Amino acid sequence: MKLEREMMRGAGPTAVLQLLSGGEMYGYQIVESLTKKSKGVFELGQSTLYPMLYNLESKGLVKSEEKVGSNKRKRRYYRLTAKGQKKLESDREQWTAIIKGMKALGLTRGVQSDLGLTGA
Amino acid sequence: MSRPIGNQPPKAWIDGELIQKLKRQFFSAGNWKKRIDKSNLPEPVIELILGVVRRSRLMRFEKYEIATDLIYHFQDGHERGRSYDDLIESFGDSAVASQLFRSSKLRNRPMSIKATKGILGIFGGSVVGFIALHFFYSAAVPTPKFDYSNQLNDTVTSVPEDEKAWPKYREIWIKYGLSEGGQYSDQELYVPDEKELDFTSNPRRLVKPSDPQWPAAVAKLDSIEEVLEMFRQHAHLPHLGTPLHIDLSRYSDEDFAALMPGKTRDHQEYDTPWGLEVDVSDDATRLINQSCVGILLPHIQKFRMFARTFVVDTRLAILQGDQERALSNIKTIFGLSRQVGNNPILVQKLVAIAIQSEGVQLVQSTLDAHPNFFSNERLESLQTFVANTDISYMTSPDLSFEISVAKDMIQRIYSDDGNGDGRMTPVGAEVLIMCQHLTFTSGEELPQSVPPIDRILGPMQLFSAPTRREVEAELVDLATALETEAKKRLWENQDFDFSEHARSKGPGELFESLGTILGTLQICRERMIAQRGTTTLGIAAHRFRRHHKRWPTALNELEGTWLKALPYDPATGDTIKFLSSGSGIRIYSVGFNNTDEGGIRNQVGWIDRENDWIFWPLNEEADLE
Repeated sequence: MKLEREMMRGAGPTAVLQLLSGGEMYGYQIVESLTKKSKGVFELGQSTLYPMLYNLESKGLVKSEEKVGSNKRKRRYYRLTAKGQKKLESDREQWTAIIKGMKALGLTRGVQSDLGLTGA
Repeated sequence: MSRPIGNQPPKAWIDGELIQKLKRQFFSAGNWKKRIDKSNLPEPVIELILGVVRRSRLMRFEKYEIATDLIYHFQDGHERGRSYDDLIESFGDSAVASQLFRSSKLRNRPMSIKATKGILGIFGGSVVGFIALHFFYSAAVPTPKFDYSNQLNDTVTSVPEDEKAWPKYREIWIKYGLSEGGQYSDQELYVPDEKELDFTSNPRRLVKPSDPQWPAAVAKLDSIEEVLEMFRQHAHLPHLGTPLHIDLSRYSDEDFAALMPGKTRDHQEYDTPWGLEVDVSDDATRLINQSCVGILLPHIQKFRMFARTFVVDTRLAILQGDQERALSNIKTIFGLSRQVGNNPILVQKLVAIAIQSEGVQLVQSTLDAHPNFFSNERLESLQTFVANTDISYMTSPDLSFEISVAKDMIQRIYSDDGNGDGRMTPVGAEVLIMCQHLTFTSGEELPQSVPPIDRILGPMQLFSAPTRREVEAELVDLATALETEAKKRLWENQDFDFSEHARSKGPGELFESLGTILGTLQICRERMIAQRGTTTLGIAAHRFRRHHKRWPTALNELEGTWLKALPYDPATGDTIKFLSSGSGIRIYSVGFNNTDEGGIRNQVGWIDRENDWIFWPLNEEADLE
């Protein structure tokens, strides 16, 4: 399932920050990992990902750097900044609260979660 | 301590953010296309990236960044085993992508770039605006529509035909070539004299019978008897009625031959008007050549010249004992003065005053040098004539001619919007330069053309300079104020400075010059009116002397029997000052300083502000021997 545009706009940046919390990644790698790890939920096109990365970078949440990768070719790598790390912590708390709230409302009934939530 | 910008110290921010981005923008940013071309990606991918980046309509360094990211993306995707076709298909709508890239870049554009772009935008906008303004300013041209010269001509020629002297003068005027440029010369009537400066600024005076040149002068007078008789016969007519045209083709053949001897009808189209040292366009030259300022008065100074000729002829008449001719000559001089001054042209009024001054000086010098020349009857007749001399044309100066000339100039400087208004024009600025040269009164050096900085900043006048309607309104207000002041007696506005008033209230040098002339006219007119009264008084004193064998000791001895009314002091309005001694009389004004210095002759010129003004004797060395 793919997220609607508005949902992606709210969740996408947090997903990217979460992904980069594991280490620096280049653009295509982010697209690929997001699709794979989210099981297709966060399937971002280039037209969505790069503008999103520009926004995150302008806010100082990620930092990009062009360097030669393992394939001897230049790539732009993105990594989380300290500010980005803090933002991710904050987002994580908020998402947890949202999911709890949704769960309490019965919106997430039947959904497997590894967040340790109890069913309503 | 430097304040950080964002998360970076200022120096790092300047080097890393500002300088690098500006370098990409202005020095290497054009390479984004080259960057895509050299990516070694297949043609469809290159086309896709080119299209996305081009449509983003961002700054060049931003395009470069997007192009780089997309190239890496496709290269990485292909390296991960996906086909280019698959990658293109999963790319999505390229137009939407362009829009998203654009909005994200715009939103996140660094403040430094926004500021730089804003400044450049303002500067560029200003340049474009100024260029547009320049076109607007340059597009305006004067389109003179109203023929003021025709209006002026109608004013001076619309008097009754039987009151015009010009038609009576014209034939002989042509025959003798009397106008400027004609063959007539009166040099035989003058002798060199270092002590005198005549109206041509040459140190010379009129010839006297005691001079060795006298026989040549008599011969000259004999040769022009026809001319002198013409003036004697028609000087009593109140108007001259000479036509005035700027377009020489409008003159009748007779008037043209009389006024412009030796000239062709297109004579007035000079390359540079009046020999002014100016560097202006042909359009500006044409505009001013066709203006009323260019109306020529080639005959006016000739009237003053002939007034002086009559002075010499009177000296001859006295030698010959011809009382009737001497009296006729004096009356002719006064008549010529009225003919010249009896129209609305200010400068003619000044010439008229000068001519009348020749007349009163002649009366006085004749009586002083030859007190018994005239019979009692002729002396009484002369007194009556002088006392009744018509000076009405002097007492109400109006500026209608000058206003018309100024309005004519305004229509040659400003554009015409069809509703009585208009704006300053580039060629009008050149016309103004020529006006400054024509009316130059101060000591500063004038520009020969419109200064380059004024040409560049000319359009700014659209915001600052008064419009045509405003200038015309200022002109009328100024003229009304000046006319009001000029009609006053000297004691009513002694401290009023016409030039200063015109300079401070009027729109330009044209009006400053007008103020100067009007101020001079007021003083000269008042003194001339006083001269008429004091000359009448002097003649009355001579008649008293003949009767009583002594000079009157006080004015009350003259009032009544010998003099109907006592003249007043032009500077104060009080009765004129009168002194008597065994050898003669002295009549004077206390002058502008209101202090009676006893009629001591220290006066310098007609507009002396420090000394008494002596009216009788006008010349201590009056001598007709």
